[in-house]
Amino acid sequence: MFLIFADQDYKFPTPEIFAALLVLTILLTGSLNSYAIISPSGLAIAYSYAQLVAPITVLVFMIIIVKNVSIGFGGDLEKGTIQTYLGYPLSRNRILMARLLSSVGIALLLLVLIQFTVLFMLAPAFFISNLSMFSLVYLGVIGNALLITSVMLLIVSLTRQGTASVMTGLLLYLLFGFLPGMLTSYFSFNDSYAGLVAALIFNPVGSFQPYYWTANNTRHVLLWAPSFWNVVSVIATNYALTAIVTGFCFLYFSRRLEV
Amino acid sequence: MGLIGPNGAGKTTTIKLLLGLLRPNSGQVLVFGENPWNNPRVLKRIGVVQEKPKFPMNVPTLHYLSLVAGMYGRSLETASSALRDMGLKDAFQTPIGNLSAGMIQRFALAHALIHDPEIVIADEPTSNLDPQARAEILDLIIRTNKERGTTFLISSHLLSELSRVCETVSIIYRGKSVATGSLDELYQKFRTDVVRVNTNKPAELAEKVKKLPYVVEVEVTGDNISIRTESRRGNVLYQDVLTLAGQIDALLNGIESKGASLEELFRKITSTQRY
Repeated sequence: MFLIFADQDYKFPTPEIFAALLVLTILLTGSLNSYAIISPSGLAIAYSYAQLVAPITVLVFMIIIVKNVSIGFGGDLEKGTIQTYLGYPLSRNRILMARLLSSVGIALLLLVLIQFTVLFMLAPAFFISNLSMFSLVYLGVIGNALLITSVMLLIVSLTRQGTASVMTGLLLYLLFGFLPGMLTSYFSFNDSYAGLVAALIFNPVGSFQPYYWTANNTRHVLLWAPSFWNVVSVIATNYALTAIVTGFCFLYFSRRLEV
Repeated sequence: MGLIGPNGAGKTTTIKLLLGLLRPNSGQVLVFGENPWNNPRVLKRIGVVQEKPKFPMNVPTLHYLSLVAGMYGRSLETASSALRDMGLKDAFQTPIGNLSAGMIQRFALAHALIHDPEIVIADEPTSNLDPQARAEILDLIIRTNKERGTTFLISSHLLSELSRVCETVSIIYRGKSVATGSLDELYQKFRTDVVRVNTNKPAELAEKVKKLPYVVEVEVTGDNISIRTESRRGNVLYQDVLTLAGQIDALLNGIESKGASLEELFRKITSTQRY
């Protein structure tokens, strides 16, 4: 079942885009290497490196999984191909799992392979000794993409329309991206960072940096400087939320979806 | 076995329930003793041909079928052999979306038979096809049934087709099975006789004929009257028509009787359910 889905999701030019990204990232990071920020802790350095190599690849990763979920899975439901798949002697959970592994799993694997290859090439010794830090950073980097994907998956299952899920995905992507910045201003007036932390749960990559409030255009007031465990908590909560939404999706698909 | 019923009778719903695509509102659906909604493993014993088969359109036929064969633990050879059996040996590398309607239906049949199921459930398998493609699909069904012993459950509203391929028929009307049996049994049970009369006074003669107690339906078209009677009353009607025509001095140009077709049998059964 997984092979059938993968066969549809990774037709030309998806694999070629990832291959091009690998080359592009290596070239870009080669020229930007001298700008790498050196910070005191392993996590901060890992985050700095990730900021150099991640943005384009993560954006493309996001586009590809949005395409796979809305056009791939949404198309299966909209066009009725799902009836053919549900006619196979497999449990519905296995079918959805195969769909997820194909839509998100392969793209995720390629993303991580590209990123870690480039990071290894940039700083082999540091990369190897801080692999856990890099892993944590990348969990944060892709956290919002996976949460958005799970919401899209639920919307596709409920509405059986890929278009609705694409619109929702794009809106959420923008919202989750801007929310922490907007809330920094809002919560600084209330002298509270709880709301900011809550917003970061939806975009956990933001939890790697400190937040300042600029008063009267001159005075920089530190609003929140996350500790290592703050970062871990935000990321863990983000993934718990993703797991809950995905769980709902599996429940609906296996027990309620009639086609 | 055939599943006959007009549009909206519940044929597709019945099939979807059998395949576990729908959950029954009440009651229980058992296929080979298992509930298909909860236990999709039972689908190993079933092949499916949908009315408008849906496959990934840009995948070549052989490639897709080999992936499906792999899922059932069958070899690539099984896939190519299934396509050859359905007359698709020249379309191994053709994307499914480029196949004609008839070829897609033959591909769907190959797909349904890839794991050698005990029964193939086909929902209106020929409804979108031209007469030649329709005949080809029916021939393939008959051949597969004879050669492999595979049972087919076919739903259709094209009754002439079902009379060609089905031994047993279940008539579905408004979500209920209103009659089930072999075609012979149903003919015996529900048969009506039809007498056609050509006369110069069709309207007057029709009015008289309508009053006969065993007449079910009278239809006037030009100088012709089509009279449907209860089973085996055609000969009695024959005599009565002569008598009634004599009473109104009507000239009979022709009179013939014939047994009911499957369409007429179907109309008879569903009309008894309607009122």
